[in-house]
This record gives sequence, structure tokens and C-alpha cells, in this order.
Amino acid sequence: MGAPKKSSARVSEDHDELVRVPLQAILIADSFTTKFRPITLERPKVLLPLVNAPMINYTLTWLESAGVEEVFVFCCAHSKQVINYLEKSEWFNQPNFTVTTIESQNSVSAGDALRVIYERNVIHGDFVLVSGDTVSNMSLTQALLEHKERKKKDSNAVMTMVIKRSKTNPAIHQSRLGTDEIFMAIDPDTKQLLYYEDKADYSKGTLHLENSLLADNPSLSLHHDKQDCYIDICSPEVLSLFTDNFDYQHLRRHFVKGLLVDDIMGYKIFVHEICSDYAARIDNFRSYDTVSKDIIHRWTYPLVPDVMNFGNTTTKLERQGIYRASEISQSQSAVVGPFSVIGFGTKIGNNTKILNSVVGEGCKIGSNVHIEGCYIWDNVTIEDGCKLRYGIVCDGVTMKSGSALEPGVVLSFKVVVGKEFVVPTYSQVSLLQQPIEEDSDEELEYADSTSAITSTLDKSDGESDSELSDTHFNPASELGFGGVGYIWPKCEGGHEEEWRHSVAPITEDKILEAVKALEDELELILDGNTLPPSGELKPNSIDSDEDDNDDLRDDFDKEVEETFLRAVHENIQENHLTLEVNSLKLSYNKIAADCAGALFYAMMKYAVDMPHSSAERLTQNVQAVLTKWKKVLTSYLNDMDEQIEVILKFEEMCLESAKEYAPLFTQILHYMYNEDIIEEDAILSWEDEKKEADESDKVFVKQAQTFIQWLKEAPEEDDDKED
Amino acid sequence: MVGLQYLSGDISGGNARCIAMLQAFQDAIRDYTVPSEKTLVRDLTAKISSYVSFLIECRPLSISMGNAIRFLKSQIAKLPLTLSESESKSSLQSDIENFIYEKIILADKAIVEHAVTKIRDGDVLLTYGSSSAVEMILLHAYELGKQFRVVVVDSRPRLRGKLLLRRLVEKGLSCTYTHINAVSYIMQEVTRVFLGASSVLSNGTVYSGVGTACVAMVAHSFHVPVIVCCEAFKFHERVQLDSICSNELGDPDAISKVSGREDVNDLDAWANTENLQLLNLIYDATPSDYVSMIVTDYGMIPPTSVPVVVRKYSREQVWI
Repeated sequence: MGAPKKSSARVSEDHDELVRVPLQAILIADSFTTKFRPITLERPKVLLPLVNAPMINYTLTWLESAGVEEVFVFCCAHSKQVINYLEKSEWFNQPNFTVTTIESQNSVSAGDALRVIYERNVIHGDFVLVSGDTVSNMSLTQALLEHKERKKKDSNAVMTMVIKRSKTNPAIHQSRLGTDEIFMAIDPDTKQLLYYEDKADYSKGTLHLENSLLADNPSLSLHHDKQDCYIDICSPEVLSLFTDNFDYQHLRRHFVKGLLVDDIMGYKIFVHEICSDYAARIDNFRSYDTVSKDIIHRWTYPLVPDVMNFGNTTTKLERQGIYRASEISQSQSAVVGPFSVIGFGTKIGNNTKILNSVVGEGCKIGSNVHIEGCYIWDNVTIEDGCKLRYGIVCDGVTMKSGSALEPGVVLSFKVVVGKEFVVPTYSQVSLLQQPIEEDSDEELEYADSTSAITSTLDKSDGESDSELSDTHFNPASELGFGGVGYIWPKCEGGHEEEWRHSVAPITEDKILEAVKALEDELELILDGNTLPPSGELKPNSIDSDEDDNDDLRDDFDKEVEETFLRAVHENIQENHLTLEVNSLKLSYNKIAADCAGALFYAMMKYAVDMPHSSAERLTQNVQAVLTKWKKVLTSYLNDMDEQIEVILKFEEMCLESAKEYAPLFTQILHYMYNEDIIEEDAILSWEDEKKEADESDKVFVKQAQTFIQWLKEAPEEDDDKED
Repeated sequence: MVGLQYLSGDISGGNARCIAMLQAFQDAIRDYTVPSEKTLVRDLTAKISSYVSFLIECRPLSISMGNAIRFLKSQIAKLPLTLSESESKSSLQSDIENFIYEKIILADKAIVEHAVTKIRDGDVLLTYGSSSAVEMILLHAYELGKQFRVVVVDSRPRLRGKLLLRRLVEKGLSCTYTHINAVSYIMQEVTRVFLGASSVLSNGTVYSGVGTACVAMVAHSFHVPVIVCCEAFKFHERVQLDSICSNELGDPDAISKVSGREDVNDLDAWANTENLQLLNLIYDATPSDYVSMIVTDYGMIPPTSVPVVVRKYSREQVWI
């Protein structure tokens, strides 16, 4: 490793004739998401233990070994805790490796963080951008070299993203890290990233690529088996780009996509694929589980518990992947299964079984306990006869005797589970109530209040524990007799997410369900294509979903209605109103028929909302409104289809929203005919269309029968006269 | 065709090679017509011999293939002269069919039935390289719901254990993969060693892929029982004391080059160095002392009983 590094340094010196700048890295110690709640309400994510060492240690160790000389740790939520931790640790006094913290309380996104860093003016050359939850052992040398070479040839190559092949489950469309699959288009020759989509909508089963993308590039490889490692090598321009585009918040969603779409500046992003090295980001509980297992299986070597010994305890690797720290007291009859980690000073009672789990420091585990696939952090007390399967148990939790955790449970700090209580699957339990608003920057507001609580707790563990249980003691708690804590109500949409993101293994039936859903969707799409479109006009192409379509239509209708009302109240001229409706039509991608329908609806609504005492008065209202805005409406009624749409809309209104019109249907129809808003052909073909319909739908056709009859006869009379 | 597949290594493993050869012979017999003024028995034997010599050119025969060829030739010799050409051809073809079915497929089934009884819950089984019989045993035991763990030991340059490992992991067995360098470390955990064999010689020596002897010796010194799985048709009456006197040499380049590692090139110009020879042996001989038991289609026998099987087997062949 030493040799290539030297040569790379020499290359840059020779060619650039610049003073060699030390390699810098920005480590963002905040994920700006709420995936790790409720735990992150009390402790920042980067300090959460991953196989008994805080996550940030993995990232810093890797950066140090990869030759980074200067790291700026950007702290946001719980910044005090992060800074305190780093001060206590050895990171501040390493030779050739400086760690500087940058604190900001009011950043709500990675974009804000980078803007703050830009203002500090501390980055002088290319830098590595990672988040504090990245676990990797890759060598940066090659990627850096590639980045520099490209930069020399093309100064617009501002960023190199590290990607890796991922294993995905085709049925549930997500990688083993619990994230959705990513679609990327990459130029196979230059490795330039051309397209990036992480929120692809599988229900559509389609992917939209710009035509120009295919036209401009001779070859293009489309991947969806790649995993984004969230390790980026950036040029200093990236920071200024963030400052220029103050609306960039999310690194991928805004910045990467923004650069790819924006062809004015011509900035380019490239990818570097790693094959044998390890790199992954802990984004949710499932990736926490996966990465922990990878660490225990030693894929991340040298970032494994027995090599990186933080603090003063040593961990020893035993056969079959069992890691044991010192001063463990384990009963003769207790069994520790393969691929488990037991922390310093933990006590394990008789006949206890620990399988595939991580147990932190100073835990007390009683007798006849069964622990499988769990992550138990420090100072946890588990009394006799408990059963824990696939859960995360944070610091200071007490599980009273006989209690149990179903798969996927997360117990936050200091929670007490009452006797014989079974915590249901996927529940999240915390001492704090769930914040009401689901907002990503919520976490920050809690930073100060909660850091105060936890810092006092940290000082005196035993005391505060008893204190807490005294104050909160409530025999009829949500967590059974003697339990302390709140089970968070499940947020909407959470049900779908929970099994994807929890540490519990994905059950067979979920996979089957997903496969079935996929097949159904396919069928649906096929149906949509084969069935002829029903009487209702479908303005959008088939590939958009039905619901989607409806939503859009509703929005559009509302928008038009508001515009119309504004026009009425503010006395806006007719042609101005037409202009506004036209612009709405374009922005919602609608056709004239939709405009006519929506406008007509708005008018009638307005008429019916005006004070009226009798049906006659209402008719007058309608007539007044229609006469006044006739021009606007007729400008959309050039075609018969559009006129039919208006009639259909009117019919719909009479049935649903404004029943008062029902008896006046024919009258108003006649009026519109007289005013030349609707031509007779349209009315006749509307009648034709309705012939096929159900009886219930024919109410208005029957009502208008005499009128239609008259219409049918009228032309003949006209003809006669002409003759 | 089959010969070229041997050469490239597409068909490897004693049973697979033997079956491929016999099927090739079946095709050859089907296409064969007796030239005028010649007898079928003599001419076909000569023809088969020429085929065999081509196969030997591609890759030296394994003992099991030798046995199969001997069987075929004796069948040809025994053909009654009264039979017509087509009758004798079809009788030969069905003989070959029977041989494949009885001696290889049924034999494997019998071996699996016997060997599975030796797997208990909680066992850690070690296997070396990739043996079709051992694979079937492991999969069958897994299907029976036995709780055990498998250690697959492999060695360069052929790395056939990887293929076995892949197939086992796909089926859901819990596996550990290591190279033969670490066999003394891993042997402490192991409760049984299952090995395949290319041949079993009449003094009980097991003739098998190179490295097998090493694994067996380590297992012996750790007092782990070594179970060799071998079909009876692979038994041979020859006696061999070490692995050098009769062996096959592989491509020396295979051990000098490491695939995927261009930087390991210290041995690149080895052919030009006069005082260097690379030795890439394919087989080795495991002395019978290190073998606890041999599982064959006739049952489970100690290595000292091999001559009995050889005698019985050859007698059976005579009477077929």
C-alpha cells in the first residue's frame, strides 16, 4: 500500500506543481433522518454502539488508515455529546491525523452542513465526504488517483462516488441493507454517472430516461444491482456549488440529481466501483443488523472487535466467531453460540443461551434466558426466564423476569419492561413520548433538552436509574407491571416500512406477499393496457397510476376553481383568466377538455354558492355567471369532446356535489345551447353515449328527453325551411 | 469430444468422467458398423482401444475408468458369435446402461444410505475438495433434518471445494470454508471427516485427489474418524505404497500463477530456470492406517477388508 501512495503523491507534485495539500475529509456526524428513532432522541446516531464500539470510531479509523490527514467532524444534533466523546477519546491527539469539530445548531440537512463548512473556509483541496455511520475498509488511493486524473483532463469532474455491487432480493426490491434499489446509468468507458434514481416507483414498472441521455452517449449501462456506499471524493467546487444552490438539501436527492439534470454548468460525476473491499452505510435498523453481522464475520477486517480495541478492554476471538472481552463471568451451563460478541464485565446465568447476538459491557443476564439475534448494549439487566428475539436493547434497559421481546422490537434507553410482559413485534419503546410532528429537523430541537437529560444520566448510572423508576413508577404502565416507558404509536406508512427496516429477519410470508403484490401489479398493468379506456377521458398516458391520475385531477380542479373565484372577486379580465387557466393546463399536463370541465365546475359552484332563495333565482344566478364568463369557457370548447366533458361534469355535479341543480338540468342545458356554449351535436352524442349506460345514469337523459327530441326535430325544420 | 472436455477440465471428478466416457462409447457403438471380412468382436475391441488411447492422450485414465474399460472389453469378448450385428450392438449398449445405473448411481445411493447413519446431531463434518458422493451424503442428511455444520477444506490450484461450497450454501447448510493450510487449526472442532476417493487399492490405500492424505493424517492425529466414500467399481487389486510411483502430473503453470492476482509473478519465467522444477501432482495415496472406515455399496468396511471386496467384485463381473 505504501508504494502506490508515494507515487500518487509524486504524480500530483510533478504535474500540478502545487504545494501538496493534506488529504482532508468531512465527516457529517448527523444523518438528518429519523430512521433510528426513538434511540436518536437521546443519543446521536454516530455514538450508537456498533458491535460494542461507537459507529464514529469505525469511520475515523478507516479514514486514518486510508491516509486522510485532516478530518472535520460536523456535529449538529446532540453536538455536545459528540464533542465530549471525541475529547475524551484519543482522536484529538493522534500524530499525523487531526480531528476538528465544527458545530452548528441550525443546520437541518447535509446541504446546510456543507454550506457552513464552506463559510469556514477550511477545505483547500480534494476532500472525502462521508457520514459518521460509514463502515469501510477500502483503500482510497486508487479512487483518489482516478479522481485526480480526471480532474486534470476535465475540470468539470467534481465528484467521484464509490459504489459496490449489492445483493438484492428481487421480490421486495431492496438490498440487504434495507434500502431501496438504486437505478444508475453509467457510461461504461468513462465511468461517468448519467442517471441516478433512488426512489424508483416499482408500481409503474417503468423507468423514465431522458431521450437526450440515449442520444448523447454511444454506450450506456444501466445498473440496478449497485449499492451506493455514500463515500464521495469531491473537489472544492462541490462546496461552492452547495452555497450557490441554497435549495440543495439532500446529498443524493438534490445535489447529485441536480448536477445530472443541469447541463448548463456541465459538472460531471463519476463512479468508482470497489470489488473486494467493504463499504456500507448504516441507514436503518436493518443495515445496522447487516453491517454488525459483516463485522462479526470479519468482512470489514481490520475493523473487527479484536483488532480495534477502543478503551482499555481487550476482546478475544474464539472459535466459530465468538468474541469475548475480559472479566466475563459465565455459568458452566450457559451456551454462547457462534457469531456472538460478549462485552466486558458481563455476567451470564445458568442455562442461558445466547445465539448470533451482541451483548455490551456490564450486562447482567439471568438464568434460563434465551437471546437470539439481538443487539444488547451496555449495562442492561435481563432477569430470569426472559426471551429476546431479534431486537435492539439500548443502555440501561431492565427486563423483568419472564418478559419477552417479539422480533423487531427496539427498546430505547432506560426502559423497564414489566414482569411477564410480552412486547409486541416491531414496537418501539422509549421513555420519551413520541414527538408529534414527523419532521426531519425535529431531532435538532430535541438536541438541547435531551442532551441535558442524558448527560446527567451518564454521570450517575445507578442513582438516576432508581430515581427515574421512582418518578415514573406506574404499576399500570404500558409495559406491564413495574414497566417504565411508552410504546410509540405507529406512524402512518410505518407499517410498510417496519419490516423492511427492522433487525428481524424478513419472514417468508412477507416475501411471498411481496412476490404476490408484484405479480398483481404486473397483471394490473397488463389489464390497463388491454382494456379499452372507459367513457371517461383519460388525459394521461397509461403508465401513470389510476390513483395518481385522480390526485392530479383533483389538484387541478381546485387550482382552476380558486383561479376562477379570484377572477370573480378581483374583477380580472376574461383574457387574463384564460391565460392563467392556460398556464395551469400546461403545468398539470392537461388537455382542453379538462380545463373546460374544471372551469364549468367552478362556475356552477360559484353560482350555487351565491345566495339564492328559490330555484328560479338559482337559474338566474347561473345565467348571469355563464353570460359573464362565456368567452373564457367557450375558448376551451372548440371541440365536441370538450363540450361532452362539460355535460358529463354537469351531470356529475347534479348527482353529487350540488343536488340543487338536479331539477334544473334541462333548463340550464337549454340555456347553454341558446348561448352557443354547447352545440347540438355534442348533446346528441352525449345522449348516444348514455344509451349504453345503467338505468341510474339515465336520469338526466330522460329529464332532457323533450329537449333532445326538440333538438332532433329542429334541424329538420331548418332543412325544410332552406328547401 | 469427451477427451477435449477432460483436457479443459470441464468434466472432472471420477464418476463424472467415467459416465461421460461410457456414454461416449455407447454413441460410438451405435454408430459402428462391422467392416466386411472382419468379426465384430475383434474389430470393436481394436476400435475401443484406439478411442481409449485418444482419451489417454487428453488426460491419463483414472482407475475407475480403467475398470470400466476392462468391463466393456470383457463384455465384447463374451459376446456369442451367433448374435447378429445389431443384436450384439444393442446388447452392448444395454450392458453399458446397466453398468452406469448399477455401479455408479445405485452404488451412490447405497453409500448415502450407509453413511448417513454416521452423522449425528451436533456433528461438525469436514470434507476435502469436492466429492459427488460426499455431497449427496451431506444433502441427504440435511434433508433428514440432522443438525450439523460442514467445513469445506480446499486447496489451490483447482479450488474445486468452492463449487461444492456454493452448492451446499444454496441448499441452506451452515458451512465454513478454509484452505488446507489451516487444516490443523480447524480439525480441533471437527467430529468426522468425510472424504471421496478416486480409487481404493487392495492394501487399503486410498488413492485420491492430492491433499487427501494430508487431511487424513491430521484427522488421525486429532483422533477424528476418517470415513472414505468410494463405489466398489473404483476398487483395484493393485498395491501402491507411495503416491509418486503412479500418478498424474498436472499443468505446472497452474501452481505458478494465481488467478486474479497479477502481482504474484515471481515464478513467471520458471521454464527458463534450469535448476527449478514445478511439481503439480493430481493424486496422492493415503495409507490405510489413517483411514477408519470405507463406505462402499457393499456396506461399511475397514480398510483391511478391501481385498475381499475386490475379489467379490471381480468374481461378480465374471459372472455377469
